[in-house]
Amino acid sequence: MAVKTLIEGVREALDEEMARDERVWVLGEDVGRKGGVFLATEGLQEKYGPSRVLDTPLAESCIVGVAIGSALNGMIPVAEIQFADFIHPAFDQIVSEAARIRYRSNGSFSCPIVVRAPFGGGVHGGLYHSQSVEAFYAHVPGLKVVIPSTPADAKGLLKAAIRDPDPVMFFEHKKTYRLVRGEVPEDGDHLVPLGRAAIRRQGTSLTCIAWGLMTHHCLEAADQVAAEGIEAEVIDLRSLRPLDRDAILDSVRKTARALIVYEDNLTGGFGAEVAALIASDGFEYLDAPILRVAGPDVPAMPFNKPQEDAFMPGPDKIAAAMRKLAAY
Amino acid sequence: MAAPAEAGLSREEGLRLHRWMCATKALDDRMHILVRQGRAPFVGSARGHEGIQVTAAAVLEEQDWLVLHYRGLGSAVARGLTAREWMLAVFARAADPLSGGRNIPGGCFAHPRLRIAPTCQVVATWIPKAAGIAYAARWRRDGSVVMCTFGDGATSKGDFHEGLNFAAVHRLPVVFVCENNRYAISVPLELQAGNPCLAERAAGYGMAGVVVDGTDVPACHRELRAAVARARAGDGPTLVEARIWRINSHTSEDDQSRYRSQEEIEEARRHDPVACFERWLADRGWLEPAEAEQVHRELEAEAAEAADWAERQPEPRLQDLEAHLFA
Ligand SMILES: Cc1ncc(C[n+]2csc(CCOP(=O)(O)OP(=O)(O)O)c2C)c(N)n1
Repeated sequence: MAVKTLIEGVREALDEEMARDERVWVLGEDVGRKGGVFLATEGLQEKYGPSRVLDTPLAESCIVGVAIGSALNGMIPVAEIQFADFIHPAFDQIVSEAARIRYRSNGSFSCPIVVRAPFGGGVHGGLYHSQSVEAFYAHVPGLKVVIPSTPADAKGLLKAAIRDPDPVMFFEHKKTYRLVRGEVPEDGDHLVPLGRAAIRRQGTSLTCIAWGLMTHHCLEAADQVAAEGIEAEVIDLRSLRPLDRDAILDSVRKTARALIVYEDNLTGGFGAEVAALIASDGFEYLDAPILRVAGPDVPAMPFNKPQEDAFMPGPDKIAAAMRKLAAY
Repeated sequence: MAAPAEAGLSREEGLRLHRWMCATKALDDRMHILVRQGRAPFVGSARGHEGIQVTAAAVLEEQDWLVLHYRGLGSAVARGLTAREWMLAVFARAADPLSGGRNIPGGCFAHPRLRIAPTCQVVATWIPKAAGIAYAARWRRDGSVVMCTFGDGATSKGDFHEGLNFAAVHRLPVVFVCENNRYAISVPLELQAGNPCLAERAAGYGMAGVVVDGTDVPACHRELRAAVARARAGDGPTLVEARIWRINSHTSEDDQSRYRSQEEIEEARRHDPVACFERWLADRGWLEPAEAEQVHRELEAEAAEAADWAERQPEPRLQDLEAHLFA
């Protein structure tokens, strides 16, 4: 297996699925000739032509609306929103239309679309190139919400998302694009099922639950505290919806302590839902309060470097929370 | 007898359009009765829109798509929606083909067999979708055309602009029909648009724009048929603005006397497309008033029977509340 970056995993998934099924097409801003601002779609237009790799007008509602229409008429669109910060104009299409088409039509229509969007900060992106938006969509029945943290998962989850018969929101942490490397199976049928978490590190002292870049920060923090005899188990959720409840509860049963880490603002972030799950269904396992480390309740990450660092839930902050939790 | 060529509408076509308009009116009138009787909770009336609506469906072929305004009962009827099917939706019964009782009748026209795409009630969201369906139709080279209808209020939304712009960029096979009744609930066109001619916006997108009197059925038929022909020939989309009068209140929840003068409401009734078309048919000797009356009676009876039948059909089961969330 070759070692690749996460963005290469994304590109391979798109390439393989487009080669496998001619109904699969990509649309978004700058995805064609330029190959996307992060080069996720580099080379695809040359290979599959401009009608299957389409540079759209700068109009996010249109991008998702057109994707939905094409799905109703037999195509399988992968819509790219250039940055998650600019997905808000498409919220209506995603929530009012895509998420409800199957339900609303009582099962007579379906909406197999994928919406990809780079999210997250730590890249000097400022207020409008750093946001985390997963909680908005994880709230919505009818959507699946997926966030890979490794190159192999980026490929396997995206391929599974494209083959999924329902709408999937696929968020890629932009800091992981080139930072995270790993082996990626060449196999054209390498699929990672949606709705299943991965245990990235085994441990018995506490359970640490994360997704995206935060998985890596948790692993670094776990290495820090391991020297002190604290063995953290790190769970990478991979899918927020459907949520792998069993993976979370099984781990907490073993460790009796839970820490949830997310980059989004603390209040109402998806970690709050995970905390509620553990509190209601895992209460009897717990020996300590459920802790969260998350972004502060400010609109987004500042451009200023010290302030950006202060926003980011980094390994040091996470390690401190691990120590606090282990001390109970 | 006037030459049918003048309007391009044959007697047979004319009588078929008339029948669909009467069927739509009969369902509409019956719904109002049901609401007054407390048997149905709600009616969104298509009165005044029937002419443009039935022609929008009548000019299509079987493989074409309809993406409908929530008020578009006439289009659905002309496409083949039966009185019984509609009444199942009115009573929110399990067998309602549009949504299984999940949504307000017309709130989401969705009918795979009739190629009516699912739409939601958020105004204008369905316009980019129509462009997407047309994009796929082009890619599949199946020769189909998309007919997309909406109200004048929808033209203020970003989705109107985004959808028309995309369709124009790619010269997609789609016809956009604005059923301009000059009101969005109570807000008049003057407060909706700086330029009262909505069709003129077409020029800004680089597509054909047409204004038609929506109470003039032969004119609607002529313009829509031409627009569909352009779309099918690869000559791109058309924006058709059909000027009509809303005869009833916005819905049964609305009282138009709060914002429309009595004179205006009476004026609207004088622009009833059903009556206008019946005069046109009578002028040609194609349909005598007594015959028209007979058609109304027949379809009123059908609507009443459909309502009584639908009311007796089973409700959706409670345990199906969570059905069809995912595949
Ligand atoms: C985005 C949105 N805003 C508000 C509403 C509430 N609403 C329902 S119908 C309507 C008026 C729409 O007017 P128009 O598009 O002209 O169509 P008409 O009802 O006159 O046929 C409004 C404001 C809605 N459904 N969607």
